[in-house]
Amino acid sequence: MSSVIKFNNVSKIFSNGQGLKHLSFEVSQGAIHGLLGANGAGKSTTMRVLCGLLAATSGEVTILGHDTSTELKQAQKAIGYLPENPPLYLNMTVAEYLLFVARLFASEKPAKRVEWTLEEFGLGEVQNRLIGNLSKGFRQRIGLAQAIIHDPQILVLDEPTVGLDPTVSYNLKQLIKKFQVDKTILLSTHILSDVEELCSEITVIGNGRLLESGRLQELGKKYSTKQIIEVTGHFPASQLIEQATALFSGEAVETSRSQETPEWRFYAQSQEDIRSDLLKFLIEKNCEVKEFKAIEVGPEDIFLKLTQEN
Amino acid sequence: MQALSIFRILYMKELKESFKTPMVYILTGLFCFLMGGLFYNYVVGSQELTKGNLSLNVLVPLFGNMNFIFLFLAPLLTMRSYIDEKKNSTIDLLMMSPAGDYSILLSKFFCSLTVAAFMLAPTFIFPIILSTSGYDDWGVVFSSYLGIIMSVGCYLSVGLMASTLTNNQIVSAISAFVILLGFMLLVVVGRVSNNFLVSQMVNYMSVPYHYEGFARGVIRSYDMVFYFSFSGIFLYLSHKIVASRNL
Repeated sequence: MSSVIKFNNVSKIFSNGQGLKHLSFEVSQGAIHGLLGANGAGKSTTMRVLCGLLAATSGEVTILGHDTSTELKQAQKAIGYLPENPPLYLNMTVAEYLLFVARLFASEKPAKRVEWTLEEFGLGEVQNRLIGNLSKGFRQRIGLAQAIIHDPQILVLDEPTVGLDPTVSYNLKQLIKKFQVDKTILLSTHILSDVEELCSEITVIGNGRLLESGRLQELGKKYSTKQIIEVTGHFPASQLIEQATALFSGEAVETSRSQETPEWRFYAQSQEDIRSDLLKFLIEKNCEVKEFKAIEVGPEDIFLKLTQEN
Repeated sequence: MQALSIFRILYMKELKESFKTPMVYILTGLFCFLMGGLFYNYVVGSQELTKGNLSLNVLVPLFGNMNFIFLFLAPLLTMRSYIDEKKNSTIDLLMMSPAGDYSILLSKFFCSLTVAAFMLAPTFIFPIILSTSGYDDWGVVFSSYLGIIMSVGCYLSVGLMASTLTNNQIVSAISAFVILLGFMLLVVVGRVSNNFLVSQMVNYMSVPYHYEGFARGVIRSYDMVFYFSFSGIFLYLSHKIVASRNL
């Protein structure tokens, strides 16, 4: 898959010596790319450099082949940006604001784009209300609507779901997933479950330096040192649990409430693939298996491992 | 062509924003009240209602005071210009748009100038009132208004620059006022200086010095060049400050 965003050895050093240091990563076309890092790691700076709102001290940022140092406006044309605080004029109505943005970004048929956006983002009912009087959830949706109104190829979202209630956050994530069909999305977030749900690629940064970048699946394999299998079911006798624990170097946790039908959750750990052996053993011993799954290493494990190491 | 259309979009946005806030109406009311009081005072104080007398004793001091009051009002008109944009992150939206830095800056400048013209408009009633007593020297009226608008342009450019420098509206208004007061006091320095060359140079730098010709009905290219270059320099500095924020 070709890359639409390329960071090549980018540094951005502020007067206090902090900033980005030799950052290199790429974002594939059509991907939802998560940018992870602890507070102050440089996620927002990375996004601002990408959008051309901050000039890089050295290195090269390319967006769809346009170098941001020489062809900034062409590069910016391809980007829809939602900063951490949505850029809103609080004394404008929702429709007025979206029309202003559509006209400013020279969208074709701005009134039609506004109509589409209002419908798509469920803003029709509040279109004539002042933005200043709306809730944080609505403001975030308007922020996302302004980023997408000129139909950019790339969306850059800085912590889009932070501080939202679960329903609004869920709706926003559904919208992000929907726009992935024809757009490349770069999003920064602290919420690792969002990354797991949305992202196919991640870049982890710490203290302005690149810690890791790549496809989530590949990184999961890279960072998984052993295979973990979770089995939930009825294990007839306690000797059986002991036997399984010894055979598969596992750990068992009793989860049942009734003494008559004891239910156990069993974790087997191995560097080899033990799935078929474990399943065979359980069938031979007449265990009633309710759930059998291999636990994959997710962004949380990768993030914690990388940030702890650094 | 696209730059012009973007400028128009930004200018209209600024204008709508300005007239939505009560600030403009409060300042206009206050300004008109002060001007009305001064006008009444000058007319009552004028001994004869002859054409020359009305010009010298009523209109010249009245327009001079208008100019002086705008020294205080202009920083209030511009103090929010960039600060609100920075506070609401809308500066990012504008910077990401096809609008260039200059379109953004000039739309703010011309919007503030339009608001100042809106505040000045009710004062046109004063020469009309005087015309009922036979006053017909419209040249002086026209040049005085032109002089005020040009001076206000200078004040607003300083105010805009101050708003790019800080994130606090009060600090922005006070720093603009201090800079303007400095330029105003230069005329006093020029008058007390014994050295002709220094006096001429200092006078040339002072904004009110250039207004004196307009108050007498004389429009000189010398003054016009000063006003345009003064506003131009401060707008250029504002542009440079905004651009330096990206570095």
